[in-house]
Amino acid sequence: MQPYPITAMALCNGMGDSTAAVLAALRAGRSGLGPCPAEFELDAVVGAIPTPLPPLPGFLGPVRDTRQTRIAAVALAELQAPLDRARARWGSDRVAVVLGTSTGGIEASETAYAHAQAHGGALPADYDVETSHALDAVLHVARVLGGGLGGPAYVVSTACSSSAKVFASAQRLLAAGLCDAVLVGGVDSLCRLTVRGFAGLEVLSSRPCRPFSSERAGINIGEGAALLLVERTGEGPARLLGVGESSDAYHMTSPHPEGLGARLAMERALRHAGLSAADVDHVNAHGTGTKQNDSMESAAIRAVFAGATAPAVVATKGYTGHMLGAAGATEVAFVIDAIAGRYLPASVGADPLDDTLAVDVVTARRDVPTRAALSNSFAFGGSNCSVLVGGPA
Amino acid sequence: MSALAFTVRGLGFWTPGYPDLAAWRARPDTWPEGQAPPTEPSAPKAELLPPMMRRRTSLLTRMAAEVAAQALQDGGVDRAAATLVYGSVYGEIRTTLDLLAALLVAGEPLSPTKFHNSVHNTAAGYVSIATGNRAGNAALSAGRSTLAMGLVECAALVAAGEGDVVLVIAEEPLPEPLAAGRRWDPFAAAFALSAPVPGDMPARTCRLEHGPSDMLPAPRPVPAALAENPCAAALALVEALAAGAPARIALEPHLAVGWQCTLGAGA
Repeated sequence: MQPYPITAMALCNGMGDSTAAVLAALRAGRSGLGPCPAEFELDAVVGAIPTPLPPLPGFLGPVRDTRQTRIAAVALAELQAPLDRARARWGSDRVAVVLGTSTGGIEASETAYAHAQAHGGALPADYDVETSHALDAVLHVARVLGGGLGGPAYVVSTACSSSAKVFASAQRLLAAGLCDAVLVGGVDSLCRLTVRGFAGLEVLSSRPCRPFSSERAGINIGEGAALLLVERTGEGPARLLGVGESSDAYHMTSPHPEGLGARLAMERALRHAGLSAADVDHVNAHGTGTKQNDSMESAAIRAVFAGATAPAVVATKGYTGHMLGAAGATEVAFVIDAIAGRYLPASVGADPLDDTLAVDVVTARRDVPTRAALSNSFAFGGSNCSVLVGGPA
Repeated sequence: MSALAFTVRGLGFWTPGYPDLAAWRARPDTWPEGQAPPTEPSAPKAELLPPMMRRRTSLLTRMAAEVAAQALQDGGVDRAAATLVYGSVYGEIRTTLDLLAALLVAGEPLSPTKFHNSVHNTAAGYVSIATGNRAGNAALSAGRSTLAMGLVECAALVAAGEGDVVLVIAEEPLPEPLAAGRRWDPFAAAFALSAPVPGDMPARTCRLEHGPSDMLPAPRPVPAALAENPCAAALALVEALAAGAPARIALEPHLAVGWQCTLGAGA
């Protein structure tokens, strides 16, 4: 594929409510995990945005004002200048919006459902399933707050690979000439359903997660947004080089034990970019903090890089928790910062390593350059995606 | 040929009372006063899914599996190699509501099966497992533009040389109390797409264009409860493709200007 420049990005998550705060924490090795906010009545360690979320502007209406859209608005506010420039350069109708989410506005539906139970079935006045709950609710908010983005707009929702797969859609929309710029990313909010759902699967850790460590005990859930601008041409800190997608065709929740689908995704990303494993210096692992994931993902990385120098493996869910539908884009953004800042962040929590995995996990920050890096995301339904990012041309 | 062109080689359809496209096309034009259209059976056979798998699945996943299988067979498409794209506005909303009830009323532990069956790509997961398909797949949502955006995604996949692509549109009824009175009947439709070959299936060759939604009147009436379905634009498209005559279908009839699909673009 033709590489496309990534010209801007904005982040908010458990590490902070601004890109600067998030990246400062990443560079310093400071985790954003902590106790779950009291309002959720959950005894869990989570990655919750640490500051109050401002309400949406009133003109968007109360039914659109949910925790998820507020999170999107926080990230969008930082992208006003690049979006203004993109609209002026390409035209509003040539700017597409492709966002990943797994939760949509389910947090609003939890509150609304509880209200209905207590009020004879009546929903609260500030809730509407079409504009508060539906997966695409965030699209309207992003298009309006983005200054009026009129290109194709859709949500990709493939659970935990959602906001990695948006990069594949963006690349194809650009290649097909359907648009000249794409606002991509992911937005998920904390909610009871996902935390309790993962608890039911018995994969939730009661302590901060420790991917690739011998002392791992499961995952934590996180929330946040990562929004990035991919354009046909332009200047930016990184380029989108290729995306590989695959399905395990194995099990709804358990990954293929040898990491077959994960391996296919990474290999397809490399082939898509016309590169080989030897061109890649680092892998941002899916690295959720479960033994199953660590084992299969390590096997897949070893297989892809057999015959090449072993890549540095970075796992960043110890900073953010698993942001589910927002995880993929967040971790692509972390890779971009590592490329731009010529460093590899510490995989917080990974020390002491599980030595049986036989991959080079970065436990302490390394100040080394990255030519190109793969960012992995794997999901329920056996949905896998690996995004290949490199430095500017 | 524009990068936005594709040929629809296979179709699939299911709605209660009409288990496939042939049955649907043979429906009566009117229903006598007070007589509702047939609504049985209430779920498709979905024989693509092994029985042990099928019994864990929702109406939405069964409808999606059923129409995907029909379109794959109708188009002669390799089910283990095609890229499947699923579009739905509300996805697994019934399963999600069951989880809300367990969470907020019963205070029960959440069923792991219900939890993983609540994701938007549930059908994608089950169908890929049942068919041994290791291609990428996707599950999309774009409100009433879900059909249009699904076709945009699929046209871009075809243009990228990804081979056969199947778009599956499926929408089940919204449960109360979330629905707040919104009611519609479920249906699913599938479209097996591939790159156009000059002279091959010209009537089934389509072009996507953005412009005024000057849709011609629907050739055949559809039951009102089906017309309320937020994916109802797919009803007009599947019918026009089955009829095989040149046509221009508004994919976003709720918008004055939106995506259109011109059929017979290969003629």
